Amino acid sequence: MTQLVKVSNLKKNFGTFTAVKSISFNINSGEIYGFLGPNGAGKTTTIKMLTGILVPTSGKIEICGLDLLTHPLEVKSQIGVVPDEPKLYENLTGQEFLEFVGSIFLMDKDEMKKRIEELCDAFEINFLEKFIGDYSHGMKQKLMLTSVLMRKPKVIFLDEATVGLDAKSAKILKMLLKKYANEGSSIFMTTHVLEIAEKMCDRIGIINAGEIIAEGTLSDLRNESGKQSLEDIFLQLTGSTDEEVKEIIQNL
Amino acid sequence: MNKLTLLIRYKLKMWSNIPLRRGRRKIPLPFYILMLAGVFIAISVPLYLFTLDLFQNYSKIIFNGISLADLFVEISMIGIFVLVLVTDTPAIALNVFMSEDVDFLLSLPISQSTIFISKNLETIIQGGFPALFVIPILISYANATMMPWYMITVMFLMYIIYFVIVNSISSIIALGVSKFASRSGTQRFMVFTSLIVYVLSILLMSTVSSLNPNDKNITEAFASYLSTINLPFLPSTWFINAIKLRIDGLLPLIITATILAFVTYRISSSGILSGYSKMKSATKHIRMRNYNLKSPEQAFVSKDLKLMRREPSILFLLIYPAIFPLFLLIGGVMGRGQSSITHALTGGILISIFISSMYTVIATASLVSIEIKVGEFIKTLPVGNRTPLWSKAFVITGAFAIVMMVTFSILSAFFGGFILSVITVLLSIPVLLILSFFGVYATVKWPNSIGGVRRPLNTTGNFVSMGIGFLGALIATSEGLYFSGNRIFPFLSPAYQFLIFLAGPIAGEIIMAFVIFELLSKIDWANPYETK
Repeated sequence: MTQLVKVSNLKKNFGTFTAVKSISFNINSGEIYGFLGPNGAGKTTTIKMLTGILVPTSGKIEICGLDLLTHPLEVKSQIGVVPDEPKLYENLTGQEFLEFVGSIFLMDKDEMKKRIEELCDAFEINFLEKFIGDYSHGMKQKLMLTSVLMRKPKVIFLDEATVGLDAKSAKILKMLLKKYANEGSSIFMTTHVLEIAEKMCDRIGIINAGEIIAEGTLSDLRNESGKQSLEDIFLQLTGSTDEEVKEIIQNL
Repeated sequence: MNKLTLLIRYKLKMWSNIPLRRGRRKIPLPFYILMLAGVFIAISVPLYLFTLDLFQNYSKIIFNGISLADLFVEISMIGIFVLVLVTDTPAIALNVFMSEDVDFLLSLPISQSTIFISKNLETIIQGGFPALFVIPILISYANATMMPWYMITVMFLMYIIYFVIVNSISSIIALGVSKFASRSGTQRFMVFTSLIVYVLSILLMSTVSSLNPNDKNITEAFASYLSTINLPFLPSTWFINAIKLRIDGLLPLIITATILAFVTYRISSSGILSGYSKMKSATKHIRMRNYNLKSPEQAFVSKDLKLMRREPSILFLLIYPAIFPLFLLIGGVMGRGQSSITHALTGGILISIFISSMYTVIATASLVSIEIKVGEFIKTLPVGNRTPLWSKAFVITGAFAIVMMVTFSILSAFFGGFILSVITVLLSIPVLLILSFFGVYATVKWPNSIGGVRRPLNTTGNFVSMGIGFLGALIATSEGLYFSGNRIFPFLSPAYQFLIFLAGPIAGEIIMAFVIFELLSKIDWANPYETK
């Protein structure tokens, strides 16, 4: 199976603080990889390095067989990124934004139009003529998803992509990601909703304090920890037991 | 009342915390008040002296029982009415009905009328500053017409009541605006109205100050024209009557203010804030959209053009080079002589170039700061790090060049001098481009992390940019001056003229370009906006 994402010994320092401590993992073609971790564990820093937003202190990132550091533009033309907080040009309309993205990625006009209409129908997007500054968080998120999914990139990075989406849109997104994975794309997603990771991800990596502390399929993680639910596995691995949580609640 | 005081106190606290967020020392509130008072006095004293002289002359010219001085006060009151109405209405709509913190405030046990009043007061504090400039006009009117102290007191009370009327009307219109307009639409409307008011008020001041009060024909014609505004149903007429203690002024002013304030209060207590929805229900899905795709470079330029066109603060900067030649020409026309008009035209062209050069840096910085706000998205696109920045430099240079060219073409159609216009614009384009690139550098080097598009640079950045902008403006204007045939030093020989006004500035231009490109090459383009 082709490995579309290869990460080896990736490290990021901010001054004296090390946010990510030499992590390594791979994602295969057609695989959905869930990247979990508590707040401040290094998830967003990792995703920013994988998408060329942050330059790593050391380590190597290979996407679609290309080194991200030496071929950043070639890599970026093959990936799609949905950030946790979509910051977009407030004074552009949704349509103008999609035209801009389509132009940058040299998309075919007819293909783009067809894909946008399909996605607008799926996500019930009927606000493309409005200015982005007037959008709610959910509307911005839908626009951002459309701008990425319309291109059908080989590798998709999603940082908390379901936040702000209504139940129907979230369900459609999950099914679409599954479909894209079946068609050969690789999906790297971070989420705090463990049910999503449990249902969708083929493999899961758990990061804590900048280090990957567990990685594998859900059954691998269950076997290693002896716990059934991903929530219990996650809490155990990140050092918070069920008893500890109960004690906190009692003391409140 | 306690809650209202609390809301205002915390708002003031937030404002005085702004320097802290910028990493500077906190400035105490009294210092701010002193600073504003200083600005007020600096503008008010000359305004007082100017209008005192005017009122002393105008009070002697009586027309239909009304002195020209009275009419001048009336026109000032109409001016302030329009100014406050058109600037405060969208400001109240944005601050009261579309503000992001209103949702939070509504979730607290505070009455809607308290929230409404506090937000309204915020708007008055922020936007009501121009209304203060009527005060020196009123004082000089009182002085020129020798009003006794008790009438001066009544006059200021009436002014407050007059302001209540304007503010209440603004609030009621803002409520209507908020029901159908979007936030971005309201922001654009605010810029549009502010621009019109700005242009009209300066044109009016320019016209009034050009009048010679000793020229009887002009002033009488002016009085005849102004008498059309002395209508019995206008609040400005009530005001002028009220300050003379006339009952046909006092009664309508007080009754109208009371009714409007009461209506506004009742509306604000009736749940209007919670009834507002930030995004109106979207229109039906429009199929068969046409998508216009371009090359990546063209896409950036097209996007930056749209962002520039829709950014009020940049539009303001672009409008100055178009407006200032007009003022000089009005002066020239008032001077009524062909040589006066020719001088005004040349002066207008040169001032326009000077202003364009000064504002190019800051306009580019503002456009770059929009990109900084979006930040990470742009880094995920398959384009070089410099492409988005270069496109901005070209867009801003092009915009200023087009504004100047259009202005000069229109002016030269009436007054001639087309060739001079073309030469000076063409000569100034390289300077503008160099300054635009400096704007890119300045935003990356001295960003103001919380200043947004309006204040993209920190204090150092602002000072350096002003210096470089001034230098660029001198170079561009010197070249224009050389071709206009105007000589500052007529005793110099043509060879020296050539050296000082053309060869020297071109050499300066080349040096400036070299230094700025050297600086740009030292930027870490992998992370151009990363603050250390």
